[in-house]
Amino acid sequence: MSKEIVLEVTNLDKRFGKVHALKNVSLKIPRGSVFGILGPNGSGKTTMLGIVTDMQKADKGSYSWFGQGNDYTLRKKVGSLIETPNFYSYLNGFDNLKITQLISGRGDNEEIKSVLKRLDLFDKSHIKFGNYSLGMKQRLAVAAAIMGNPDVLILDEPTNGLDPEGIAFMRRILMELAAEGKTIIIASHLLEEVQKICTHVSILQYGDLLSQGKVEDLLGASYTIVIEADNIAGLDQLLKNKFKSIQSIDVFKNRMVLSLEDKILPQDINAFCFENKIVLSRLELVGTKLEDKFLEITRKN
Amino acid sequence: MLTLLQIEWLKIKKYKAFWIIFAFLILLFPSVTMGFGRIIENVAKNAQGIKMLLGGPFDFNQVFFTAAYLNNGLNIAWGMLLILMIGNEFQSRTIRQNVIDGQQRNDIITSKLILVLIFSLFSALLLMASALIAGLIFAENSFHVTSDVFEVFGTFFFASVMQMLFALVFGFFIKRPALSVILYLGYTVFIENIAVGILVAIFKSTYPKLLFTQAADELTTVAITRNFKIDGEMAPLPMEAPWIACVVYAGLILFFLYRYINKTILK
Repeated sequence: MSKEIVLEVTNLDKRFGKVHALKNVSLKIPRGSVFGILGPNGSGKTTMLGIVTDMQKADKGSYSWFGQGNDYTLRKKVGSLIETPNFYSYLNGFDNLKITQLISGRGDNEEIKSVLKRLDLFDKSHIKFGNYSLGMKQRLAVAAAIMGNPDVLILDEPTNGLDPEGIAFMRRILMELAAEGKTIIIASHLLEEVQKICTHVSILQYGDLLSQGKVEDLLGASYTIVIEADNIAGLDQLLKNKFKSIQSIDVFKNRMVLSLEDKILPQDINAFCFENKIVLSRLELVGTKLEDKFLEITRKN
Repeated sequence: MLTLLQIEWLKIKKYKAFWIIFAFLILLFPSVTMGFGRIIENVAKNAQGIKMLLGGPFDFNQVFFTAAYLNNGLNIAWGMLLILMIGNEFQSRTIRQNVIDGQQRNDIITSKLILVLIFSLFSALLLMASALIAGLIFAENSFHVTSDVFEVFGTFFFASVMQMLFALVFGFFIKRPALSVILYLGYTVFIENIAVGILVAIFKSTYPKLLFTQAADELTTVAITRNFKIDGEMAPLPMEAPWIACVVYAGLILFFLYRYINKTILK
């Protein structure tokens, strides 16, 4: 992967009255990465994306696209879907994409047809945008974003409001785009999806950047073991005494979730339980989910 | 600039309100001019004194001044259209999306200024055509055209531009299409006229007629009052006064519009 930085954000700071929406946030997004920006509602994700797409101005700090500053012409190389699909309701799909094409300078009429086909909208391109379903609107927005093969894609909650079929469609498109090696900046609540496609993540909360880096670095070598048995009373203390790398144990009725600093072999746990006359009905070693890490980091703060 | 024009054309060519107002103005310009011509003709038939007083408002070249004076208010329709377009673009957040896609913020204003110029040009041409037809029907002298016609064309064009610049202020600052249109109409048709009337009465001067959109109206009024003293006992405004006022207003409007669009958060 090239180390070229497509977007560098330096000490961005933004206030809305008393609300400090972004606090001195700095990050670098390398070319070819799929960069997830995670955070609960109000964490500053959309504010940051709004600043780098010139929807709003930062109070302090700067950003630079492709190492060349923040001139509006650089945004033409970036396909964006921020929050909701925004198009002219009385124009059809084709005309709406034509406007995007004229503004961005990306693609031509053939390219418009091509992206409409890719997003399964070609047959509906003559229909007014106002008459599109929510899923179609979202697909048209993705079509506008990927039209002309931009260097970078910004997708802010691309699955917002979609039905399961729409989400599945969007997931497929995202997977395809990621596989094409595009730089994708994605803000989403769907952490499972993000974990599947992202190479890098940053976590924001109340305007603070809590963590950023490669997904594998963020998740680290931590593991979780889930065990289930009919009688596990007192087992948590026994396990803690035996295995020092157990960080914490959460007990839910007949299920126990062990958070480990270092990997413990499941068979060692199984043998230990057997020695203590506990027969396990489930024993599973799982890598840390991004969701767990996200919750761990945000709860800490 | 050509790309902006192309984009604006794409936006308006399927915009119903545009075609309704376009058709409305094509019908109304000649209707107003000829309707008034018919009235003058009938009045003059019955009362020669009035004819003496009015002179020949539909004679060449006076007919062009008369038509400009009569039709000036019709530009409010273009103003309404611009307000609706801007309001809808804010509501559907397409202004925001266009900036995200790489449009310069200044181009948001510039693209609407292009429309202002085109609509004004169209209005001025429509005025000239209406005046010409009315002149051919009602003029008592023979057809002739002098350089005055260019003055009328220029004056009406500038008055139209001014009327629409004021509309842009309502459109961009209020953003909500229905509310902006109501306030724009309420202000230009009622509030400002009442305010000017009161101020003129208080100060016994015609200078309050230079208040905002009234100044645009005065461009054509002053032109016609060179021949018809319709201001009564008060001294008419100097010829250059509404021009100066309008140039100042235009400068201020453009300054504040560009400043606003570069600073505002595009929600």
